Amino acid sequence: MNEKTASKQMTSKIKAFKITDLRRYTLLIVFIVMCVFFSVTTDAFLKPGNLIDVIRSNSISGLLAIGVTYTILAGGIDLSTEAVACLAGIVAGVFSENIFMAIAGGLAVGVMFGIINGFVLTRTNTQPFIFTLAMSRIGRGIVMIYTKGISLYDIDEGFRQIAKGTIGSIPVPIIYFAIIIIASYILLNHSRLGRYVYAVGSNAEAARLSGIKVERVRMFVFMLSAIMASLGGILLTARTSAAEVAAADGWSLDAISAVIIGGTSMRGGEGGIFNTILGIFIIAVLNNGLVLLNVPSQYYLFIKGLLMVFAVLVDFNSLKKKS
Amino acid sequence: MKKTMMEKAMEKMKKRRVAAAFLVMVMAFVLTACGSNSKDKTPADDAAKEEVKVQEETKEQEETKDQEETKGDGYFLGYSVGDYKVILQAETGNRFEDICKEKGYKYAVKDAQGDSSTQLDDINALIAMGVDGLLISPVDGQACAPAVEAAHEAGIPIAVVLRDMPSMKDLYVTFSGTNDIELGELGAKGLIDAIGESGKIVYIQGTPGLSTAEDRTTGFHNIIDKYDGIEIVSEQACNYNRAKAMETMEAILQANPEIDAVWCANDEMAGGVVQAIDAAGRTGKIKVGGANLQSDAYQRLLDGTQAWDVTTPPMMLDNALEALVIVLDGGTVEKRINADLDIVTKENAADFEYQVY
Repeated sequence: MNEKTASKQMTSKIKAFKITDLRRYTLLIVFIVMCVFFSVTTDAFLKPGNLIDVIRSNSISGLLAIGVTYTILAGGIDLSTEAVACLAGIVAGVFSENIFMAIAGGLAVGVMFGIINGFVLTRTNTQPFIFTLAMSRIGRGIVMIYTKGISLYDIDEGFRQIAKGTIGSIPVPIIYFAIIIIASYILLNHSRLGRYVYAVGSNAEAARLSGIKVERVRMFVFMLSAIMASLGGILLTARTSAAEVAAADGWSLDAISAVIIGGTSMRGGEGGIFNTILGIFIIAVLNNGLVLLNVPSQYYLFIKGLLMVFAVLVDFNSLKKKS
Repeated sequence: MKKTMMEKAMEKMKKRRVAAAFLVMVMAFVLTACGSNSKDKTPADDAAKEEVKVQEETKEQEETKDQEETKGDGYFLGYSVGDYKVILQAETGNRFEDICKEKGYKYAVKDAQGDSSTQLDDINALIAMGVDGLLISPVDGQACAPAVEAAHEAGIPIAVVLRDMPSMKDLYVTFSGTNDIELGELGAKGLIDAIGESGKIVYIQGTPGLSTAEDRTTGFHNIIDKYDGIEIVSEQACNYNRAKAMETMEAILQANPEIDAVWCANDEMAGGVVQAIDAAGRTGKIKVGGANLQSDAYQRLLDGTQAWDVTTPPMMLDNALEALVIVLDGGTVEKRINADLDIVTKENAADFEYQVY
């Protein structure tokens, strides 16, 4: 009996592999090919030090991508993450003398923006795209009004330690990132709430009819992405030892790019945390490899654009086959 | 039936009103939290509060201006800032406000956020507001030309700050600023002073396409390319951004076991580079230079983690403003007020402390 169901599952898995997982594997292959290419063409790429640097550099901006994965899965989008990160970073910088206050203050920014985004976007018919863009302007605006354009450099040494140390030979930002990834994975794939996120993203009306409180799920995803962003901002201030006015510039779109390149669909309901991780590291390895190869930076935008075109086309093809 | 629909609509309205009230409350809370937090901690807060005050004052002035004629010296001055996110420009904006407040001028400041078409709109708006004199720190030396022409046609004297607009020479009364090519050359000279005429070096550029960044690169190469002993092992653009520079420098350090010096086109990036070098345990082996003499760079010069810097004194704004007022008073001024660029090291740092911002 058990064997039968097992074999049934196997066959269905094989079928599923042929069709829906095609693009996940295509991107994985792209990733592996890139890694092999840079390993052969540069001496430094495979050095443990370099690999750790690549992961560490992206473990802070990666938090924004993890957060926004939830909003995209639920069929929304969040463009305010970079502003939340920047504002949280400034608040953390101001309170840096007291680590607890710095972290609490920064997280409070995330909670606040999460509540506002979630509240308005669940209670009104406003489009998430335009509303979160507006909130992004408001967040950056508050930073500008408060700092008058002058970044804060007086960051307390004790506070900086939260992003500085290592456990074994692993830098702490990587450890935080790993914990967040695991927690996000469990939440998304092994909890009822996670299933609801997928359900709301694939078909909100069906989800509503089956008794899911769609508004609550949406509230949750906007809260989560803002809180992740504020966490990123706090760590960024600690790591760069400056609360910059221009901090996290462009990170909202970078985070969304990583999510999409990883294969999560903008239509919602399709994708997951590991897609995002793959997306983050495809971009990260590309960035790192281009620097190691000393490719003139004029080419970067073009190459990254090509990569995104490829990712989008893979998405398109797989959908066509499906229907 | 209709009634219930009406009721529903009313309820919806009510709900929306509650939502709006809530939103306003939360925003107010955010703002006050931000304001009161730092009361006893950073000077920035006092400054921010002051700004609010200033704005209120100007508002009052604006209101009263219609009724009573302003005093003879109470000019209305406008300043179109290229990008407040660039700390040097933000500093000039703040100085502009402070000076205007002190002298009793009415003023207006616009931030183009690094976009030249926004700056065109800003300048036209300032003209429409009826400014007596106009200061511009151009996003681009060329792209803002039409607005300068418009201001000139309207008979408004223009002073250009920070970055020159060479094609507009006949239309502005003065240019007070630096030459970014010269700045790049000084960055390179500082590097030669630090390591001598041979070695492996890295150059971290600003934002590709911005004239400041391109000019600094041109200047840097003007000098460095003359030395056969100097090899640029890596040259990367990091968009004047600290975190980006840190990430890029980490990769460069991995790829190059031997680096003697790094010049960064601004101090934000120098800050990131210094931290990457520190994390790699190579502090002291690699000399780092920056530009702008920001407060954190000044500190790094004193600590010895940064070897040299190139100044870009924010007093350029003061000179331009002064010149503009002289012209408004009927006087004449020099077409070009040079801000002296200097190489700063630990030895002469104290002489330049007054320029730190």
